[in-house]
This record gives sequence, structure tokens and C-alpha cells, in this order.
Amino acid sequence: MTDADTLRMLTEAAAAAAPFDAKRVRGWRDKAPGFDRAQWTVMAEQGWLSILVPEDLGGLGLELDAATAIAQVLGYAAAPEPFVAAGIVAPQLLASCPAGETRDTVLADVISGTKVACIAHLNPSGELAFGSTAVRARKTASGYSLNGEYRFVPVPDADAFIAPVVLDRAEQGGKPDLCQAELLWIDAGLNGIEVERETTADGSAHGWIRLTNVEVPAAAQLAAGDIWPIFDAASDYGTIGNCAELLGNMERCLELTLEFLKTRSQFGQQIGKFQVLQHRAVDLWMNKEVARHALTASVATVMAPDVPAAARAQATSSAKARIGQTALHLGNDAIQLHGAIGFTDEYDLALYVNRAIAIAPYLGNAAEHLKRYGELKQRRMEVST
Amino acid sequence: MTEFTYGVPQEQDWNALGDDEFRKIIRTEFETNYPQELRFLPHRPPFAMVADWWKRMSARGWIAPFWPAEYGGMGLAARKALIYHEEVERWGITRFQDHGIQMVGPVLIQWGTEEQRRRYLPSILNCENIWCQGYSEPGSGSDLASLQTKAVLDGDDFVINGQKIWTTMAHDASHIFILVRTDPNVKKQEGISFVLADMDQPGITVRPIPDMSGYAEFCEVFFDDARTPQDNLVGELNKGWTVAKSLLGFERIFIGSPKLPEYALEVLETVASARGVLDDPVFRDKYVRLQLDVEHLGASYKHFADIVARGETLGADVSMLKVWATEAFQKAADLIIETAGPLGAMKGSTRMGNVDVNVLAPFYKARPATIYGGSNEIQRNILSKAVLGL
Ligand SMILES: Cc1cc2nc3c(=O)[nH]c(=O)nc-3n(C[C@H](O)[C@H](O)[C@H](O)COP(=O)(O)OP(=O)(O)OC[C@H]3O[C@@H](n4cnc5c(N)ncnc54)[C@H](O)[C@@H]3O)c2cc1C
Repeated sequence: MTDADTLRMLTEAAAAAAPFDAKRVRGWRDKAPGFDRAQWTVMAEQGWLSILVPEDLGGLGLELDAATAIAQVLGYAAAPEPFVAAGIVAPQLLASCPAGETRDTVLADVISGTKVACIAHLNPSGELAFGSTAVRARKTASGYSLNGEYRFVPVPDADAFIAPVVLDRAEQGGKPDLCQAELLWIDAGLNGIEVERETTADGSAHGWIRLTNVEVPAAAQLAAGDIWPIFDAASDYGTIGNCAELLGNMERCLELTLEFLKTRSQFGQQIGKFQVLQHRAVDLWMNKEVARHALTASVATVMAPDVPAAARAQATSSAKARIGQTALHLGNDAIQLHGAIGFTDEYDLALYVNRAIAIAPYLGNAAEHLKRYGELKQRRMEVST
Repeated sequence: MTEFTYGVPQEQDWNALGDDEFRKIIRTEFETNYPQELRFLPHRPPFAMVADWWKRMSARGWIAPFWPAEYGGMGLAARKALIYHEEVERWGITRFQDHGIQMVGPVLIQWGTEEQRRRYLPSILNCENIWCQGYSEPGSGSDLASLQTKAVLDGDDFVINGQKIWTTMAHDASHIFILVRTDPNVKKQEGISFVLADMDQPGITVRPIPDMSGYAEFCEVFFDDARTPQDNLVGELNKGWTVAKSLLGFERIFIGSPKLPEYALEVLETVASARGVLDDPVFRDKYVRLQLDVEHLGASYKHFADIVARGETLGADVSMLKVWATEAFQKAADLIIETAGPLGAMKGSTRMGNVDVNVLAPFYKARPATIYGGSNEIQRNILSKAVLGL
């Protein structure tokens, strides 16, 4: 666990380096790449992109609670930078890959901010399908030839995608063998890659990536064999980071709402004096507090040394099932308590609500994690009886 | 009555038809002639986009279904009027500037002078004038009676100063009806007047306000020494509150119609089917619960519709329809987002299997529905006081 002083310093530094800036947030909407590469460099210089990366790999070597502290601040600032996808998941996954020339180089590039990378793993219908992918890979003399599609890629303008592929096996009649997956570093500039930007609620975008006979060099291999344990671990870390970003988002939505209830008058009194609105506000606060405590508990489980994968996954899904739902409900109610102004794009609340809608489904929405949580809990109960 | 004629003559006496026969005629016209691409629009379109359709309705004499035939309406009695409205919603027909047809017309018919009716009704019927409703102000939303925009007589004109806000489609309107303060020294409801104004004048400035879906549907309207002739006062001076309140009759039932939640349920079914979860028991449970909510909204709606059809007046209890309908609509919109998984993040139309769905459109439509038309908190206040006696 990161000590309280370090966490406080990190939070303060993050709040100073990434304050809410409405003009900046609005400025990057509907505009590629959707975030500010200069700010990304600032984040790299602060060490945030390497926060989880061990010191011997050039990182800060801090733990998950340090990463969530940063994500929460960025959520509070409605920052458009894809910290969770490209600053938690990608470096975490790369750091868990076996050392090697490619891995070492790209990890260094990612944590220095020179290259932005994120994972690409969902098929076009968007299943949370970690065991299969829609992309078919064939081994060639010089490496791989890839065909297929990834969708819902959180950083469409990334420099590279970290993607699991399953090789077509000649001996199985060209059928993929799920146990023989490989993790590849796919340079976004390769021939045959086409990226369609699909705009999300917050004005940023997801990438729909189509690969047609893309020749990837053999050196692009980051890991092979049973890649799923490191892949799942990195996505669980990402899910926790996403929860923290949503928590920061909720905190600001609630603050805006409380300020409004205290300043808006109707019928000759502060609307915050109407008991029905007081109770609504209390419910929002209470749900946000429960979400916060849920996250703290899950973070502690996930980062415990030698945590079993199933326990880690269950704790992750427990947090996301809670927070994914609370964040959207809180946004809805925050609009309601504001009246018409809460529905305008000119008032900052909308930036937060649209941001929450855009990021809440990342690595599985609340309903998907509720299901996963239920299944894992059941399985672990069966094992222990 | 004078020989002045409004609009076009009606083809027949609609009220003499059986309900089913009437419904069939309406439905056939809509299904045959309403442009497919304008069905269930996610936003209110600018007039130009729907002008052809409304001009067709105008030429047929169908544009003002609820106005009396002598004023160019279809003269539908309550039961037929409800059927007409149901068919409009069933086919996803975009609302024609309901401010002119649903508000200004009825107000002038009830409270206006013959001269006002002749001046304004024909240009509503032929789509020349588009109206908007200037009630709300920055400081006066739920507490509308506290409004501050002032009108002072100067010769034959009112001079208007102040600001309106959330004025839907003001940027597309040629005229505005406003509530203005004409006597600041009496109880707040008693110093308000109902006034019409031409928006094409230097004293009126309109600024569209984009909403959170990125679309500008409502506006701010500024009045800086704007002028309107004194004979644009509707009803008596300082009796504007009574005039405005008279509009809250029949219309209150429309806002509680089951059609919007039904539309959201349709989108939900499309999304669920594309995501392959229609038969998933967890999804089905949530879906069926909502279907039940909407079915029983329909049953409640029918209760109130029957009251209207019998020609009786609606009580304060009709507020329950608005609360139930808008909240069912929101629940359906939220479940669409949940069911869409990663597609729940997408703005605008998005590919889902082999269909294109605008996943967030129901959400952006449903969200403000609990705010406008008297917020749901205000409706609950009304219900608790006027119905439950608390
Ligand atoms: C999409 C949209 C279109 C609109 N179109 C028009 C239009 O064309 N013309 C027009 O004049 N207006 C229009 N309005 C304005 C609408 O009438 C107001 O938004 C509404 O009256 C609420 O006022 P407000 O937004 O100022 O919220 P407020 O009255 O400030 O309310 C803020 C919050 O306090 C609550 N509240 C207020 N008073 C009480 C109370 N006594 N007890 C409990 N809770 C309370 C409200 O329910 C709300 O949750 C539109 C609004 C929207 C959202």
C-alpha cells in the first residue's frame, strides 16, 4: 500500500498539473486526436505513465492505489487524456510481458510519452470476449499477416495497438487455437490498417480498426502461449482505474449540484431548502460514498501480494458493477436537480455527464461486471465448499 | 360571425365518423404521405426540413386538428382529437410548431378579439408564422409567477425589457407569445399580462443554447426596448396568468401519453436483438418489467382520456400521467445504454449488427422530459397538495 503522505503529494501534484479547464476540454471535442499530446508529455514527465512500472524497468514502481489517485484527479477534471487506457493498461501489460528488445523499447517509448498505445481486443459486436478475437493471424516467413477487425479501441489515433491474436493452425484445418494466442505490437502506420473514428458522447472517439493483409514483422511479438493471465490482469487494473476516473467524475457532479442547490432560488428560497431535494442530494452523496469505499476495498484486494486471479477479478468486478451504475445515475439526478441549465452544453455538468457515458462501458459496463461478479462469486463458493 | 373564412373547408364532419373509420383515414394519410426519413427524429427539426409535409397538412385542412372548423381546424371532438394525437405519435410524426397550433390558436379562440384572430390564425394555418413560447426566465423557472420581464405602455405600444430563456425553437420562430409584468405593485400572479410580439425587430435578440446532445433546440431571447402594439395584448391587462393557465387543460394529458416510452421500448428491443440478449433471462426480466410499466401507463392514460372524451374536465390527478410516463421513458432510455454495452458510449447513429441505431437518442430526449412542462418535483407537489390533501 502506498503511504498516505505519498498519496496526498501525488493527488496535489496531479490537481496542479491537470486542473479542470473547460475551454481545453471543449476544444478537444470532435477533433482528432481528441486530447492534447503536449499534456500527455506533461503527464509522462510527472511519472504518471510509468506509475505502476517497476523501477528496474524505468518506472516509478508504485502500486495500484497511486494510479487510482491520479485517475480520480483526472476524472474530477474531466480530462480528455486517455490515462486509463494508455497510461495504466498499456504500460502494465507491457511491463508484464517477457523482457526482450521490442518489449523494452516500446515500454520505454510508452512511459516517456513518445508513443501512445492502447489495447485492441473487442470484436465489432463488442463482446467482452477475452478468449477469442475477431482477427485472424497467419504466420509468414517474415512475421504475421493479419486480417479482421477490432472495434471500441479507446485511442483511435494511437501510435500502436497492443492486440491479442490467435493463430490459424494449419494442422487444425485453419481453425484458431485459443490456447495459442500471441500478443502483438501493431504499429498504427503499417500498410493495410484503416481506422474509422466513431464519436462518443463526450466528443472523443473510439476506433474501428480494419486490418487487411497487414504484414507485421516477427519482432512485433510481445508474448506468446498463454497470454490471458497477463492480459486479464492488465484489464482488471484498467477497470479499477476506470472506476477511479468515474469516482472523480461523480465527485465533481455532486459538488456542482450542491453548489447549485445552495445558490439557486425559486419561490423566494434556496431550492436546497426543499426537503425533497435535500433527500435526493443525500442519496446522491451516500451512493457516491459507498462507491468510494467499494473502490478502496477492491483496490486493497487487487494489489495484495500474490492475490489469486479469481479473487482479483471478483474484487474488480465488484467495484465496477457498483461504480459504473452509480456514476450514470448520479449524472442523471444531477441534471434533474439543476433543471434546464443542467441539460445545456454550456454549463460544465454536461461535460461530466457525457464523459461518464463515454467511459463507463470501457472494459465492460456495470451490467457486464455484475454478471462476471456473480459468476466468480458462485464459482469460488463452489470451490470452497 | 362574419363572412371571413379561416383555412380551407373540411372534407367532412369527422366527428360523425366511427372511431375506427376515422383512425383508418388518419393512419392511411400518415403512412402514405409522411416522409419515412422524418419519422422519430431525435430532435425538433427546423421548419425548412419539414415544411413540405406541414404545407401538405395545411392544404388538406388537417394542420389544426383541435381547432373548431369555423377557425380552419378539423373541429375534432375530444375522442377524435385523442385518436389523431395517438396516430401522430404512433407514426413518429414530428411536432409541428405546437406553440402556434396548440397554444396561440386556442388562446386567441378563447380570449382573443376578432381582429386578433383574423390577423394571426390564417398565418398559423398556412405555416407562414412560426411561434415560440416565452415564459421561463433565468430567475423564474418552476416559480414562473415571479417573472421580471417588463412591459410598459408608451403611446400605442408596449415597450418590453427583460430576458426569456429555454425558449424552444426561438431561432426558427417569427413570433413569440410572452408573459410580461405589467404591474409590479400587486401580488405576483396579478400583475402579469399575455402579449404577442413580432420577433423581426431590433429590440429582440435570440441566442441559441446548445444542449448536452450538442443540438441547439432552446434559446435565450433578449428584449431591449422591444415594441409591440397595445392591441397584441390577449385577454385583459394583468390577467395574463389566467390566460396562460387556461392552456393547461387538455394539453396536460398529451405529455403523459405512453407513446414516448413505447418508442424507447422499440429501440430497446432493436438493441437487445442486435446484442443477442433478447432471450437472456436477466435482460428479459428488466425488459418485461418496463413493458408492464408502460402497459399500465396506457391503462392509466385511458382512464384520463375517457374523462376528456366524455367532455368532462380533468382533475389535478392527471399530473400522475406526466410523472409516470416521463420516468418510464427514462428507465427505458437507461436500459438501452446498459444493454448496448460498448455501443452505449456512441454519439449519433451507430452500426449494430446489420442495423443502425442511435443509442443515445432516447436518453437525450427523455432526460429533459422530467424538467419541462412543470418538473416532476412540481407535479408531485401538486399531487400531494391537491389530491392527497397533504
Ligand atoms: C428541453 C426544454 C424545453 C423547454 N422549452 C421551453 C419553452 O419553449 N418556453 C419556456 O418558457 N420554457 C421552456 N422550458 C423551461 C421549463 O419550463 C423550465 O425548465 C422549468 O419550468 C423548470 O425551471 P428551471 O429549469 O428554471 O428549474 P428550477 O425551477 O430552478 O428547478 C431546479 C430544481 O429544483 C426543483 N424545484 C423547484 N421548485 C421546487 C419545489 N417547490 N419543490 C421541490 N423541488 C423544486 C426542480 O424540480 C428542479 O429539480 C424548457 C425546458 C427544457 C428542459
